[in-house]
Amino acid sequence: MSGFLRRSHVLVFLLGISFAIGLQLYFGGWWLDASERVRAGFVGVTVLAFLTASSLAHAAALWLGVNVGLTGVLVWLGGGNLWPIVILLEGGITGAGVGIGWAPRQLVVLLAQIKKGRAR
Amino acid sequence: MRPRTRRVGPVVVAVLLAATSIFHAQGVRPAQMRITADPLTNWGSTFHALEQKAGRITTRFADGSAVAERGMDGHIRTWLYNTAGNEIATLHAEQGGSMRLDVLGTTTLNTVRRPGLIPTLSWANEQTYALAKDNASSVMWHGEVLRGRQEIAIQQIEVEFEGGFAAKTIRYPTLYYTELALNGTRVGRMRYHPKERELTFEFPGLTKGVFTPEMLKVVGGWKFTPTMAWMHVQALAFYQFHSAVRAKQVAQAKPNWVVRPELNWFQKAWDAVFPTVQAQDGCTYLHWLDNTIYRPCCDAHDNCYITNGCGMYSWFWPFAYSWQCIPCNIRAFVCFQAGNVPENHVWVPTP
Repeated sequence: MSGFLRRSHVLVFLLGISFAIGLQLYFGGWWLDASERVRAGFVGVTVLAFLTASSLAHAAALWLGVNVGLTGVLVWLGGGNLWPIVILLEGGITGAGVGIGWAPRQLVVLLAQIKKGRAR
Repeated sequence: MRPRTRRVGPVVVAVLLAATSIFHAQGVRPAQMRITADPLTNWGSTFHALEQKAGRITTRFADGSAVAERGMDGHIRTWLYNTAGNEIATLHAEQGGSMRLDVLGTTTLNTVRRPGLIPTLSWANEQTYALAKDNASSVMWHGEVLRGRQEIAIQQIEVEFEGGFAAKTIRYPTLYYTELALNGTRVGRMRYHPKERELTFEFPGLTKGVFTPEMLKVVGGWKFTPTMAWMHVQALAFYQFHSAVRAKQVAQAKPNWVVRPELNWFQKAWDAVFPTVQAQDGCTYLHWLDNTIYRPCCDAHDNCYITNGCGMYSWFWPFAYSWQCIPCNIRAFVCFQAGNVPENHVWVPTP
């Protein structure tokens, strides 16, 4: 596989889906129904991005996986009257989480490259 | 004389048959059992009042499981199953104090409970397992349980309480773990570490904390040894008592406010005679926004849906309902983007 569809991207995507399902199972209810669940979900996806998003494509795959998983859970729960707004909001929150997790990792990588360049 | 002699034979047979049938029914005559020095635990009236709410308890052991149910008459009946799911024994514990064990259809024990023992469903399961495991002639009352020398190792207890509550307690190598659920949704959990005698509990939105022996010194420490059977009753107590406290706090505090369309004088008069049902269930699947500036958007959207008979499919299939559903959805989007009270709507307290 090449380009976006590398094996590592697929793995990160699947990890995102697992995280979404895990979030539902852990709390035993929809994650956007209580503020502490939203906090936990946000922190969780941030940490996950920091640990796995080694590139922008990996970050995108993780975000996509999380949102596919969450949307699946929402459909399974019944959707509700505001479902498009729910999906948009969850996309925004998880997007911010992935971005916040991904950015410091990139910074660390960049600093390491600069340090390496100076050493040469 | 001959006719009289003829009658004696059937009478003797009838008496013998009656005697044997009574013996079959009773099996073993009520027996008094020896009592060891292990005292009974006084769980208190609150514990028993909450425990009475349990209708059915399943206790899992290493080599089987037991299911206890409380009948309308207050009697407790337990069925013991082996690992293959076959029934091997039943215990019938009456309110009066008598209890009878039947193993594979034969009564093997018929006795009375230890004086002062208040039966619970968990106790009935443990008792049935203990009696089925040990020889009836070698058992003694060890605390609440009539058993042999060996203690009973419970692996898991599942409880169905009235009101949609269910609890599950699992024994791990170093702790007991309990989860309480209401209508399938977890509402709290507890952990007890027997070695450290430490209890941690967490009921989101209600209470959370830790009880250690040091913390409980001011009230005289643990007055009993927590068991797995105590865990689920305590979990229900935490939830119900703290929910009651919270409900009281909410009632005393400022009432919740919802948003409704602003009515003109005619609509007010009409509404006074024919009140309209208003949606007040907040933001569906976004309940963390229920007390924020977005709540009016959700209530206005719900009201719009009710008024026009809309459904969730109107978001992508406008033909499914009234054309008025499209403006409902657009207004909701705009409201969420702006985050304020929709036009011609005012805040009113909940009735």
